[in-house]
Amino acid sequence: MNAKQTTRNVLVLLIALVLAFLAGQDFRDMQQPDKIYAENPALTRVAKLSEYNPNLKGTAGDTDIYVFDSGVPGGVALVYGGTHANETAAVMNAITYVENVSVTQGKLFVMPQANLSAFSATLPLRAQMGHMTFTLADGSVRTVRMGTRLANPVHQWPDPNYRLNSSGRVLEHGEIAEIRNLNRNHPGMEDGYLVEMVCYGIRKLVETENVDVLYDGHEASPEFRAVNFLIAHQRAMDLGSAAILNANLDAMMEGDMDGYPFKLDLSGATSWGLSHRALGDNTQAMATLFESLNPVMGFCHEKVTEALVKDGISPNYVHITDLGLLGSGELTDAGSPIELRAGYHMEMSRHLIGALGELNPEKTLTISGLPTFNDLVANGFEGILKPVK
Amino acid sequence: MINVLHILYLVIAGLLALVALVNIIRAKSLEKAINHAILFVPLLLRALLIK
Ligand SMILES: [Zn+2]
Repeated sequence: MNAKQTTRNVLVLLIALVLAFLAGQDFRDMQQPDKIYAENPALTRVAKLSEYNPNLKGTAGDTDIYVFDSGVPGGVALVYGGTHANETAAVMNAITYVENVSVTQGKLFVMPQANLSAFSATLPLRAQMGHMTFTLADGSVRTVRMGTRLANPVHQWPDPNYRLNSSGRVLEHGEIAEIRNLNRNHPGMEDGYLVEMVCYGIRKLVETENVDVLYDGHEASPEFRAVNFLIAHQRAMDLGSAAILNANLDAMMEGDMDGYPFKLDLSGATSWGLSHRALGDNTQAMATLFESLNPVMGFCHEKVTEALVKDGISPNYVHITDLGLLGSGELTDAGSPIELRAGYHMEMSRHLIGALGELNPEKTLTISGLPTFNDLVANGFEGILKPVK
Repeated sequence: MINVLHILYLVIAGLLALVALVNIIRAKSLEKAINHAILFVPLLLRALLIK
């Protein structure tokens, strides 16, 4: 090897290092914590999930829990988003609660980023967005992180080739990466893989705080059969029916005679590891999960831009709808905007909380301060979100 | 146990990054150097817990 070759190779190495540095900057930025507004005067405290599973302390799974405690005995609810960090409407719903809600009876827990690690990465080769932005009335810009469906492999690696997880679900072959999926590993393990420990933390939170109703927010592709479905554990079916009925009555009172497109489904007996099944079976809580319609979750959407994420306008899916190929999740030119999707989550969770006290008066959880559905849709998040200092 | 495996894999990624680095320096042709460089970048980023 001559000097010329060595110089060339050193040059290649230097270029590789520069590229690694530049790419590394982007990836490192994604690992910085998201700024969430926490100046709501009704907020009692911000807890950590590691209070419920100490093994999470100092890990990328130690997410924040916003506690609203009225001090008056009553019902207890846990509303969370970010089980899948790219299912943005559920995150926006939780953020709307954190910024606006106040509680006069009972206790409310809100967790915007349930699988915190998943907010620090996007899936490779899927052209995903890392964040979306909202310009507020005062000119300031709120940035909301979008992550991915699975925990970041930097935090949990390698994926085992075989795992019989705590729910009885076998993760093997094409499913091995699901060990990083929060919604496959409930009820979790105190000392296991990171995501299993996060699941265990949520389970312990539900047990320790005597959570009566649990709401896990998701988004689904147009192809998914259960778009706009509330999926409820068998002990939560009455609650779910009452909530959907009340939501529709509310809509009609406000002049929307069509009401909401909400439907109710029973949690599958073999939905092992999913929150509505595993937390319903293993805790006292009435476990529910709701899916809003987001074309970005599907396989036929256009290039993922901020506009697609926020407006949900997808000509491809309109065409597929027109062809009559969708059993659920039909899209029109109006799209499926983030305000509508988050508004559905807000109405669904709000009415589940309302129905709790209706069905069990001693479990009344009284909340106020949330924007109305019409407010949210009319003003957009630009008019609802608060500036973060 | 799971933590030990995690650390072991990171060490392996680091060692492989080092092998790729040596291979870049010793490459006989530009193509080979670039080949090893393409392997080197993700291995380095994983070993440093960045990606
Ligand atoms: Zn989901």
